[in-house]
Amino acid sequence: MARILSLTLGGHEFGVNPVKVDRTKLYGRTETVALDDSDNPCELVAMDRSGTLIIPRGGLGMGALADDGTWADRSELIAVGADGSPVPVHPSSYDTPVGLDRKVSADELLECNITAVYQLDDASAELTAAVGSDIYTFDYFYRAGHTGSQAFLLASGDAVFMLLGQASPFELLGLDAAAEVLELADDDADIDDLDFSMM
Amino acid sequence: MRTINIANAAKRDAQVGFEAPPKRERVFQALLDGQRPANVRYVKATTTAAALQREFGGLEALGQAMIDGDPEIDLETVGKLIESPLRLYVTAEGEIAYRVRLQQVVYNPDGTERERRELSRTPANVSVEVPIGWSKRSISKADAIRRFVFSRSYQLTHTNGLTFDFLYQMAEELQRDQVMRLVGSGPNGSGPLVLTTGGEPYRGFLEGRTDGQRYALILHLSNQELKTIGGAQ
Repeated sequence: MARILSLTLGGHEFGVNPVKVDRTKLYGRTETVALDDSDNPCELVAMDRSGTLIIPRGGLGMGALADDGTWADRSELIAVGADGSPVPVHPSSYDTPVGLDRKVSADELLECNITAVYQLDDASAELTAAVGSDIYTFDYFYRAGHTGSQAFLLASGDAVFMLLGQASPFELLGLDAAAEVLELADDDADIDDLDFSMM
Repeated sequence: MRTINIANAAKRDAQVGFEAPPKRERVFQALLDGQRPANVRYVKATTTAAALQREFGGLEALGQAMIDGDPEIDLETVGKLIESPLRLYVTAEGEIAYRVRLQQVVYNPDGTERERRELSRTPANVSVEVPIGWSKRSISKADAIRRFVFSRSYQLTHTNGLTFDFLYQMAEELQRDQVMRLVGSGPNGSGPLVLTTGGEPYRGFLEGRTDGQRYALILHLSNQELKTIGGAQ
């Protein structure tokens, strides 16, 4: 069942249904298959370094070990920040309306690597107009938990998108030297005809 | 640091470094005493229900065999820690396939198969003799973020005084014009970028920022347009 995200902007509340826009839904996908001499499909499995144990798909599990080698059950683990202090549990963004009260610039959005794209279905024309050319950001939690994503809301054409990103900040680099500006050639070329399927 | 061979608008090229900014983890899992446990992989099973059903001739026969045989869990194997497991192919019968032919299957967005072809690994093209070119296509940042999804980014880094100037100039140009410049392979600088052989192709857009005598030249990569499913942007 679709989950409705409530957004408040300019004193109005808007309910939207985020639908993930996967690259495969836009362009399709490629898959590599391995065939044996009889053209039958083969399966990729794991093997231990001794070469004596073949482990089928799904046969490996993940666990955690303490420093003394004892098993640490996942239920015993707590979420902490870099300073070691406990991190609180945040409610799901779907539990209460999300206030769009923080705008950011294009530069700030470009300091994040986008990890997921959602089109906001049921976004009204009023919401699209209210967002306008601004970019809003908020902390997004799909479900209650410790770790969320930074979300960016922006309008493009008639659609409103929610982009989830992971901060990827960079530093300015310096060296004592004078710089000379080059003259740019006039640019008449169009950027519309780029092929993004690239398959 | 990996290298990238890149040219500017004047077709001057140089080998410079490029790397992704470090990821900053903000939340970690820890024990009550503050210790951070080590993540490990272990063996859960060495066969599957499907394989056992094939061996015994069905689910009921498998169940009966387990009742009759009352097998024990192999404690030497289950729970064994595995480091850096090797990968190999097995046939449908579970035998090791010593010779396989790799095919690439292309699917349409609706999931139907479009074509099959022998797998070919596109060679990396960012650190080769022919430099990545500075195309004539540019786009404002405001438009770029509304048209493309930038999923990866790399910072270009000078390796000496000459390349400092080289990169600084590019960054300054871009900041002055407040645009991002399409860079890429091929004579026009508009071909896709492949960072590693067999890797995904991306479109590359350069962003430049300066502050006094400091600069940042960022290569943003995109392999997706920002548009709705089944509709125009």
